[in-house]
Amino acid sequence: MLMVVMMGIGILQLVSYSYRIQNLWLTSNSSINLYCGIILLISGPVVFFLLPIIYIDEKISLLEFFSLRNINDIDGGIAGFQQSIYFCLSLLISLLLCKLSSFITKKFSN
Amino acid sequence: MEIINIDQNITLLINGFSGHVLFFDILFVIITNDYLIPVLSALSLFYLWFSGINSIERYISQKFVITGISSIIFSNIIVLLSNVFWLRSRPYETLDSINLLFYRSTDPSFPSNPVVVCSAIFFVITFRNKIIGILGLLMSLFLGFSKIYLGVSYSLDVIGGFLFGILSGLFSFLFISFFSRFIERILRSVKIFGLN
Repeated sequence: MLMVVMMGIGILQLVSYSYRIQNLWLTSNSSINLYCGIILLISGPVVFFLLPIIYIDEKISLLEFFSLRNINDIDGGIAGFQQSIYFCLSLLISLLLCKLSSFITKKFSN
Repeated sequence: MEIINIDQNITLLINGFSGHVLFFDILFVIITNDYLIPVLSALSLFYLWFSGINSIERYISQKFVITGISSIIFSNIIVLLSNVFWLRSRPYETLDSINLLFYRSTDPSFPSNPVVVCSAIFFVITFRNKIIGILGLLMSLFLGFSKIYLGVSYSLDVIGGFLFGILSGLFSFLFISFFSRFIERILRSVKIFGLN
C-alpha cells in the first residue's frame, strides 16, 4: 500500500504539473512538485523491494533477497480482488493527501 | 502438436539464458513481480483520469479510463473461459530442463494473466495517449518475456495473453459504446464527489 500511495502522489504531481491542476499541488512551486513527483514515482518501488532489509537477519543471496517480494497467493500473497481493493484505497489516500496539502499551501500563502 | 513443440523449444531457448548473469536474473525477478507492472498499468489509468487541458478533454480521458477498467473485467472473463477449454500445465511441470527462478504458480499456464490484463489496459490507453499506450504494450511484452526467462510461462502463453488483452480492449470499446449514457451518469456523479 505504501508503494501505491507514494506512486499515486507522484503520478498526481506529474499530471497536475502537465495540466496545471492547482488543487493537487503539494507545494506552491510547480517545479518542486514535478521533482517531488518523479522522486516519489521512483522511490515507491525502490522502498517496496528494499524494505525486507529491515527484518532479514539471515544471510541470503541477492537473487533470494529480491525474490522475497514474490509470494504466491496461497502462501500469504495478496489475491487479485484484494489487490484491487487495496489499490483503490491507496489511490484515494494519495488523492486526499494531495488535496489536503494544496489546501494548506493555499491557506498559508494567502 | 507441431506448434506446441515449437513453443516448448522457444521457451527452453529463452529460459536457457537464466542463471548465467545475476543482473538479468534480478532484473527479471523484479519485472515479473505480481504488483510492479500491474500497478504501473493501473496508475497509467489514474494519470489519464486527470489529464486534459479543459473539462471536455478531461471528460473524454475519463471515458477512456472507464473503458480501461471494463477491459480488466473482460480480460478476466476471457481468462476464465480459456481455462475452461485448456488447462495447460506450467513449463516446470512438464519440461525437465527448465530452470525455475520464481515461485510455483497454481493456476493454468495459458494465457499469462498479467500479460492479458496489462495489454488490455494499455491497448485502450493507446487510443488516448499514444506514447503511454505503446510504451505500456511493449512493457507488457517485456513482462511476458521475463516470465518465460524465469520458467513460469511458455512463449505461447505470452503471445496468446497479448492477443487476448487486445481482444478484451476491443470488447470493452464495444461495451462502452452500448452503455454510453450510463457512463455519462457515472462521470457526472463522480463530479459531485470532487473526484475529477
